[in-house]
Amino acid sequence: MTRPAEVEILLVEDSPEDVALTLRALSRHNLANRVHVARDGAEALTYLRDMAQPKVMLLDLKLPKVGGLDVLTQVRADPRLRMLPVVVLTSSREEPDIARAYELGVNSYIVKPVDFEQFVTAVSEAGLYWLLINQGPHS
Amino acid sequence: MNGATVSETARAEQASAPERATAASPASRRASIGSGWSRLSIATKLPLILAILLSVVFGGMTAAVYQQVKASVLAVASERLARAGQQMADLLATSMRQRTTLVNGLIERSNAAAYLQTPSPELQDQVVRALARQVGAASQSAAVELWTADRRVLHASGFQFPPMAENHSLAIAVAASQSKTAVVLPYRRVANDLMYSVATAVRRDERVIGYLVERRKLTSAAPTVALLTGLIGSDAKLLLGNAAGDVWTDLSVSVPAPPLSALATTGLAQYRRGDGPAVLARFVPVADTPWLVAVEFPRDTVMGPAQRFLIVALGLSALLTAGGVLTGWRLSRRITIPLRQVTEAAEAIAADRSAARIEVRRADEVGRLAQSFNSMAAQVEDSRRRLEGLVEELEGRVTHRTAALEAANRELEAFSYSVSHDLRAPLRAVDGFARILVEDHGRELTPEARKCLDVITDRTRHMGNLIDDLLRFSRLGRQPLTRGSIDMTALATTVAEDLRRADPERAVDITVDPLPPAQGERSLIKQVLVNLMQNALKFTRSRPQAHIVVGCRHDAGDPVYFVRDNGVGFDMTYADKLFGVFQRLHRAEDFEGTGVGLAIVQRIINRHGGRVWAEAAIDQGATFFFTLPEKAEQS
Repeated sequence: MTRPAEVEILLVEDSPEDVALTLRALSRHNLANRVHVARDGAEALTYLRDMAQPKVMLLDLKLPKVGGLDVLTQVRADPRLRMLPVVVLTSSREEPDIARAYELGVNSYIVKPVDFEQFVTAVSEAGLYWLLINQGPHS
Repeated sequence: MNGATVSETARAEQASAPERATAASPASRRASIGSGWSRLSIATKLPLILAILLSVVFGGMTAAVYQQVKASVLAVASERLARAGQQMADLLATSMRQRTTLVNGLIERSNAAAYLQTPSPELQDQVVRALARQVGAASQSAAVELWTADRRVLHASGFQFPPMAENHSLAIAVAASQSKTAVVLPYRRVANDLMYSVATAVRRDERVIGYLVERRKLTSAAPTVALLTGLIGSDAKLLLGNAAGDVWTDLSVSVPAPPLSALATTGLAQYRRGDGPAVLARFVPVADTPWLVAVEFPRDTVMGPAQRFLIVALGLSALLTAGGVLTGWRLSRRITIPLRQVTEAAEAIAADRSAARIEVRRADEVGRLAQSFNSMAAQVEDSRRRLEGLVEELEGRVTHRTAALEAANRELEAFSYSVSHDLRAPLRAVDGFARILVEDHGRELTPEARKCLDVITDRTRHMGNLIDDLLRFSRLGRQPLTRGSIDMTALATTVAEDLRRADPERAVDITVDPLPPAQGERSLIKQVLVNLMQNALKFTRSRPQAHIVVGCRHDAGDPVYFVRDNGVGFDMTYADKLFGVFQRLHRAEDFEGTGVGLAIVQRIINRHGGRVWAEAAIDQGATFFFTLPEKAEQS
């Protein structure tokens, strides 16, 4: 497991295949080694509260135990975490999910394309943007 | 659908509210109906009608009977007056006939004719004695005169009269020329006395040689008056006078004459003499004299019984009318009080749904009305209770159905969510790992294996598209429409430009005609245009120059939009399969697609209350038509 100090991306994803594909996409820009993976919402919240903050959280919505939108709610309610950039990365294209996520204060909403090339492009570009281009709250 | 049901119920309740408000104030509505008489209560009308009716009947009867009584009283009075008058006239006529005979006889007794011819002293003495005897014989005789033919007084005995007036002389002359018997002349007033003359001509050989005139005073004839009183009662008054109307007397003194018009009346006359009371009178001429006898009766005495009858009859009528009105009033109250009870009960039922009943204590029409009202009220209440039960049951059913529908909707949403998320995730894995296999182990794979992996990738992408289209299609049925006015020309132009930009290499000619605006949800109508124009582009791909026209024609005034292409078209035999989900008329290897696009078009148009259809022929191109009614009967 990567040491907390080096972690810049918290990936919250329960599907091992999607974890693999996401990491592969991020590796395009050599960002894969700074990723910590949480397999459900509870784990993600524990990690965020106990460890140092990442630069961005990539959050799936459909998760065991605590769902993605609940994670987002708790993050935004936590005075220490509420500034954390959160990008929803999900299969859901459903309008209510999108609207609810933005209501809860998500910073970006990305629908995972089924097509691998498109998926890789979307995820790698997003990683690049949030880690290198975007100016986060902690710099 | 659920929403529509709820709002329908709400509208029905709103509509019924003012109706109930109107029903609560029937009095205000009643006031606007009719006016005047029709607004009066029956309790007022019936006595009023009775009062008028009874007044008319009794008044008419009284008037008729009074007229009869009056007529008969007058007839009786007239008869009695006439008989009395006739008696008096006969009496006088007889008396005057004796008098004329006496005067005629005086000519012989006095030997006046001889004296007038030969006025010797002997003859004169004879005349003077005869005349004096005549004056002495009758107390009423005031004087007897012997005139010459030229009306000079030759000899007079008794009262010396002044020379008589000219008309008097004339009357004598006329009388003499017409009759051989003595003539009675009209009364004259001389000093305080009433006088009359009886004159006769003295003739010799048919020639008048002189006149004998007896002057007589009218004296009160007590026996005559007594006779009259005996005949017709003490109220009667006997008068005597000249028919010419100048001198009249009540047999003692001179009295004002009756009016001339009354003197000419043969029947019953009514008049006032001077300032006296109104009288009824009959005038009877005295035969062979210029006199009239009048018998008068005070009018009040004669009419007394008739007047008394009138007063009694009027009093009786008033009494009967009052009794009738009172009866009518009580009767109408007897009728209207239960009627008012019925009305009030009906109003109570209409106003606050109370179960009003009327106490029935009678068996007549009103009682029956009250009974029928009660049974009607019972029925109304019964049916209302049944209706309420029915409404409750219906509401329960609606609630139940609504809950069921909502549950179904929730399930459907959960299902689509699962499809959206859970079907895509494995698909992405399949595609991703196939690519990784190619990327990482491409060199170890045979060309056959690479081809297989290509198929996996291609089909995975297709399945992804299918899932996306299906989800969009299922969403269409659920989300509510937001209608607005759409500038169809602008929308079609935008879509056309977007599509051309997506494939700039193709030789495509898209024409957008001016289109009338439409009512609907802009994003959905845009989806319709996108799908139809994408189809058109797809099926013209084999054409060297694609022609696509977006236009509008009018069927019976309603706009029909269409998208026409010069593509490969299709066989109209399968036109009914065109709009089904996953229905395809072309092979997948010729034209790509999921078979959902036209199903989405149809669902959108149907939800807008419109119609969509197509006309085509193989290799002749295809035209897709759709309508968008302004007021959609939404499903």
